[in-house]
Amino acid sequence: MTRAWEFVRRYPAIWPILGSLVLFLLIGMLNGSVGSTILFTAARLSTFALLLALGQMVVVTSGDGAIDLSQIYILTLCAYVSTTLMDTSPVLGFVLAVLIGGVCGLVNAFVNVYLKVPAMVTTLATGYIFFTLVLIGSSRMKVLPNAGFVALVTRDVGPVSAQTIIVALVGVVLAVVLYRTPYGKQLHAVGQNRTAATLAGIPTGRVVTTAFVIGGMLSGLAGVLAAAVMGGAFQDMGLSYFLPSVAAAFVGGTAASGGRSSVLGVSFGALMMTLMSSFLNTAESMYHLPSGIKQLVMGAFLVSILILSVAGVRTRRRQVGMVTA
Amino acid sequence: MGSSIDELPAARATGAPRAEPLLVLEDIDKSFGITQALSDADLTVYPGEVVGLVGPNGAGKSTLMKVITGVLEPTDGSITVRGRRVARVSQREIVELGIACAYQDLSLCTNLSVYENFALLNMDHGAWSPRGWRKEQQGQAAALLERYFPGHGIDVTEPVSALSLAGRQMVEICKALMDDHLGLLVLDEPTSALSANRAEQLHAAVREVSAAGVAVIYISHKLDEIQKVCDRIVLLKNGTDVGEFDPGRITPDDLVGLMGGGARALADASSRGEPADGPVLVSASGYGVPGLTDIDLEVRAGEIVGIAGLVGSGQPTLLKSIFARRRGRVGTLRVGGQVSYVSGDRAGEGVFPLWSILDNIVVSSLRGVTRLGLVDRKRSATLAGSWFDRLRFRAESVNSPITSLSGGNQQKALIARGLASGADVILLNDPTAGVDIETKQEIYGLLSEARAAGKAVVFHSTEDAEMEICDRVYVMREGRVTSELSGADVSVDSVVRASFAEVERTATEGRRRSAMSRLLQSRLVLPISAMLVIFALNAAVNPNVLTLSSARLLLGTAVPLVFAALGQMFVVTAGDIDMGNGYSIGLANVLVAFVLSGSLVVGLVSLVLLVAAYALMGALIHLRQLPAIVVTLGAQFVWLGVALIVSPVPGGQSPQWLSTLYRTQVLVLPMPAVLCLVAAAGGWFVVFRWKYGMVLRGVGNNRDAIERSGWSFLLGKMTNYALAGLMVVLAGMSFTAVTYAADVNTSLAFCMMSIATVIVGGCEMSGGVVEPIGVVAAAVAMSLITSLLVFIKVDSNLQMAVTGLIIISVLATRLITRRRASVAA
Amino acid sequence: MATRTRKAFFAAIPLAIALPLAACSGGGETGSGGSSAASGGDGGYVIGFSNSFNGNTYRQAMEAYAKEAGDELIASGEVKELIFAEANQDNNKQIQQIQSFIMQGVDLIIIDPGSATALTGVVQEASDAGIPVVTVNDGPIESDADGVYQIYFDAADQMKQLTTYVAEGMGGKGAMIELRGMEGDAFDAKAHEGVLEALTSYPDITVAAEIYTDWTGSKAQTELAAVLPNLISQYGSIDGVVNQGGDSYAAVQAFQQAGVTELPIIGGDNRGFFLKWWANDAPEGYDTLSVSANPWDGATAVYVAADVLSGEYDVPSMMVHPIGIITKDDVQDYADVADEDIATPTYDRAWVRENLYK
Repeated sequence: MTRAWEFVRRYPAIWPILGSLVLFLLIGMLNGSVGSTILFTAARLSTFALLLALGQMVVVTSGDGAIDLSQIYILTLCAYVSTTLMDTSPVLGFVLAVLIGGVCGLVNAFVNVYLKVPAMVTTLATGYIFFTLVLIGSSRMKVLPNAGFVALVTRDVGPVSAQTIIVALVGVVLAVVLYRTPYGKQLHAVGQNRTAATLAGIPTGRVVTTAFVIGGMLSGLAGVLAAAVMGGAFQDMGLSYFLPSVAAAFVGGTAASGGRSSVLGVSFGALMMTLMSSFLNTAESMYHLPSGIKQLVMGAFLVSILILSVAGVRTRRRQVGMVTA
Repeated sequence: MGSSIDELPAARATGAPRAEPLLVLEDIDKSFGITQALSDADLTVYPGEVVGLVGPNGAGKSTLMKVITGVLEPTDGSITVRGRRVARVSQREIVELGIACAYQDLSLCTNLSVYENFALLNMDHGAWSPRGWRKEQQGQAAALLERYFPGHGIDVTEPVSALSLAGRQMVEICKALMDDHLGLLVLDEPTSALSANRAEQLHAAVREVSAAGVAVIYISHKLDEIQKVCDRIVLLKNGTDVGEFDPGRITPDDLVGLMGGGARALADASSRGEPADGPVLVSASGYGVPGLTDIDLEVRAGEIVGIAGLVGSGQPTLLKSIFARRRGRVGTLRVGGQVSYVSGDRAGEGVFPLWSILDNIVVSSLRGVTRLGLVDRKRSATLAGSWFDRLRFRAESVNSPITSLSGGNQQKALIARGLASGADVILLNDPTAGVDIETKQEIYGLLSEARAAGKAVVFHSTEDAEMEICDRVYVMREGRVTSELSGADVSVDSVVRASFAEVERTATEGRRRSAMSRLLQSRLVLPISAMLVIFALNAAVNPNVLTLSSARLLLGTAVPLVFAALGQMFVVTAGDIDMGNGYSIGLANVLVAFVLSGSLVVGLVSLVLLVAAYALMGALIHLRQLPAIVVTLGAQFVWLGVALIVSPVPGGQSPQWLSTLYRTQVLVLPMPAVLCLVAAAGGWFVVFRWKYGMVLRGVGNNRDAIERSGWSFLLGKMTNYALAGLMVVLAGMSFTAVTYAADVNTSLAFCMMSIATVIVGGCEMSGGVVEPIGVVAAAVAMSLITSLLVFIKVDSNLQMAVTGLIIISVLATRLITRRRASVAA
Repeated sequence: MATRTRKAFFAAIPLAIALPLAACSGGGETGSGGSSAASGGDGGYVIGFSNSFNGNTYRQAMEAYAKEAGDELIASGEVKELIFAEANQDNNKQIQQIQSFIMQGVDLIIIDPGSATALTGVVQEASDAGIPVVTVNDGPIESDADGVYQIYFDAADQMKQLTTYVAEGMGGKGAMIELRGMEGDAFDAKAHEGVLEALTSYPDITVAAEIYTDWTGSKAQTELAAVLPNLISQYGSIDGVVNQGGDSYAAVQAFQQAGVTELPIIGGDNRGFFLKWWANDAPEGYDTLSVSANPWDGATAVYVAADVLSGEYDVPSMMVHPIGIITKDDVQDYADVADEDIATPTYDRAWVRENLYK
């Protein structure tokens, strides 16, 4: 039994992969048929939650209870920026929109690292500031996406959507950065123990700042893609992705206290959350369940994962402790 | 080299024939893993005598005290309490003997006033007390302080955080002396922060108390005091008692000699050859930072320099300052070359527990193993592997998790990390704590190798004997370097002797932190002035605001925020933060509009259930040690789900009686104004006047203090959360009265607004420091901002940005002022 | 910093934030700042416009038309100032904003209400203060107060016509999706009643799903994208879509992206991009009906407001504003209309008096 636990702990991606499989079968049962289109559609629909979840994973991995609550607002802001700018110049507009996401991340980092405001409160406040920019500017901004870009993003390559391909590429690059570069090692060190990391010679402040910037850029990318896919930017566009992205990040093996991440796990986590949403939607309409059930189930699910995720890492840390006389 | 024990006069009982001993400890063993903290330690305590307990670093004094006060259970040996044998000291024995301890790490709630800290301990645990109890307690506290420390100048109504360190120590001591049934008093380094005259007062108190029959155990490094105050001196060394002495017949010098002598010789003393002549890599001159004074030292390449002295003399601060190349307040510190730091606090500052041995070793050498921007696995493996072999780890392979290693081997990994980085200066902070003998020898060997390789090694250890491997040793006391030993002088004996060298005790008690106390007074100033200023701005822009009917309109929409903020405040009192109250207020709103409006009884029951759910949330957070932000974040979706089940679409209606009530007038004041006043008064009463309010605040400040005083921490936490839940219900009710309907999504703004309000209102996010009146004033202020923005025709969407900016700027400003205040002290 | 300076510094923070903001006032209106109560009569009326939401093109068009009418009346001297406040779907905020108008002592308040019930109290306050209220676009709200004038669309009739047309086109059977507006909104509630009424004549049509879109295209597209695959597996195909407006083209795109080759009959909403698609890219002979409310009602409200205040006309307390309808025979006229335009008729002041004051 402990061997099984050890295996799971080493490969946290197991849970979401299993979960996705189970939900896939459940949906098939409800619909009366099992088909791969459900999977590819779910993969396509999970694009934005996945990008946000990956960004969240990077921020949470930097440790100290860091979490980014401003992501969905960065997404919305960058969506508006992209639709406004990309009409004039698609490539420049795209790049700028993503960069603005990075700038938002920089703001978060500044307040958290230098003004020492706890990350949760920081991103709560900055999130609303970003959203205010949207609210004020939205009537002056263009909302319709560039047609060429839309066509690019919404096409299919075989059964796979272009969005899934883009996300897969992002995932691969991120995995390389996190697991093969010095920065990635430093990030995971900082997440496990900030004091130890500083004493080991790691520039902790810079590492955390970079984490927030990466998170911001991923949110920005999600915004640009979302604007294209959804036919335009609108104010509420980020709201429905908050819960699935946070849940995906944690169910995919990110330790709530930092220092552990899994790109694969989070990717399947996002897929699983989309499948769950889909399953609950179908069940809701088929059995006419009250509309609150979906939120309730997703919320209870999130709480349980967070509890399990916190518990698992703490036992490891306790093993290191030594009681001295 | 120091006298042997046989040559010294043994202790003799003084005075009357001994009564029956209170407490007898015989052959006590206590081990933690491989460390033997106590072995065959004996101690007998008689009523009415003052026993001094002395010993060098690591002698086991605090472990012994923890056994006596019941914190630890001995691994072996016997404890006899008034003739009755027990396995360990439990609550029963503590009460029976009347054991009280003044701890070195103070057990006070810093956010409570002095007399409240006493009251926590000596008042009964009922929810209510007879009127006037506060005055009574204040009088008792003042009398107590005056009795033992006449002329103390402490205002018992001030919060402990406003006291100087000396003041706190006096309070801590009085707290221990307060027990009516005091039988055994343990004082652990009680005069560490006291000035000479205060120490005198303490000694007088000790003598008085022991004359009344109380046994006193007095632990101190200040050997002259021990001599003055004690009837009998017990010397602990290496976990065992090595002798009892008569203070009238032995000098501090002799004691010191006893502490040092007879230690095992360590590494080959002859390896200590010529003084090093490499370049100076670390040099400090007159260097001072908080915690260090006037440091002069020098470390060259190719030598091992030891930093010794009693624990708490500032050695870790020195090492960390060197590592960070911290600029001194005065003087200079120059560090040349690369520096690496090896910590002995493996769990707290060293090991990365989720990683393998390889990763832990390589983490400081990443630049060296990176090719083309990627970490080269092969190079890493080679680097780690070479160290793995050299250090002879007892593990399966270099890829094993670091937690599979013993403490000693983990330490070797940390040393490997420091050496592998190629640093020129290696700092080691007590690396052999909790390490077995064999590994220690290996570590000494590594240090010698490093020296031979031309590194500058700075080695701090709390085990004085280890200093013998150093070329030179600096001994520190109270943040200063008191002596430098070199050559033949480097021996355990001289190190111990130098450790006890007296440092000039400060004549004054340190400046009272008056700037700090004034800052605390201003907690109410910000919210109240903000409220007045914004109201004035409103009136300036639109004079109509000054009518009573306008006041009713304005305050009517402020009341929900007032309750929402008070709810957040109670969660903050417990030391947490509620991220879900946007939706919980929405749920309350829905329950009022849909359930309560239909049936009073069912509605009330559902609201009570919501309050209970909050209390349960608090229990869950405490019992499972979960981070509150995580739980409340998840809880918000549960609130939302339930709300949507009750009512999938917005609608409902406000119960008639509620709307009418909300619109009535009480004398001249509109109901909303009355509600604000009642909320402020009620909040203030619960937090500051109600007896249990002390516990509510203490919960967020110092868990140990609460539990040691006999109160239930769990109950306190749950009460805080239940009060928060009640505020949520009231917020939902007033929100329904205002909007006449329910929509679970329109109350989202309450989350951020309530956090901003709590911060502006003068509360601290941790430590149990809250201001109910300030919170109410801030809530009114924040609501007034909306109307102000409309009046000056600013896009109302900006209000959210303004709120966010306010949160950030107030928190940041507080951080800066607090840093400046703590530095000024 | 001495504590006294520090206190002043803290107190100054809200000032420091509020004052620069005053310099860049949003909400666009003409006329000077400095807002103390105006007394109407000579010098012109001060009118406050409380909009529950301006996040989609319809609402923005409505505000634009209102501003146009306002400018006309300011030029003629009848109106001194038209002030806009927008509540972003937050009922509590709308209440606070209306209260602010009352406290400012404006002459009349125009309201596009976010809820049929939440504003009853504050409208009563306005009436008690002697300030007339004109509700527009999303009413009618529940109110017994004096001096309340409501301009509304017969949403039920609008949707009944559309639903009947689509149902006929479906041959009276099959699966239908109903796209709704904003939860709790009065217009949405009445519209839904109209749909249900029409469907009583078509018992063989099943409503597969009801989706709230806030009358916003992108929200509609997202919601549809999420549920279409499941619905299609469940029902085989969706044959008709009825909607309240703002989301017709989004529905078209959602179906296209879901890979549906034979498009259902989708109700049109008079928006430019739908009409253009219908005229140019829709399959040959694509038959549907395009209906919508008319954002020109913003101007209507302003004209009615001025007439209420002058007292020269007998303004009824309930007025129905006509909707706009485009059929497949007319659609070619709109082949070149701009994407974001709403192709509905515009009128003038005389028309208002002739057609609404009956």
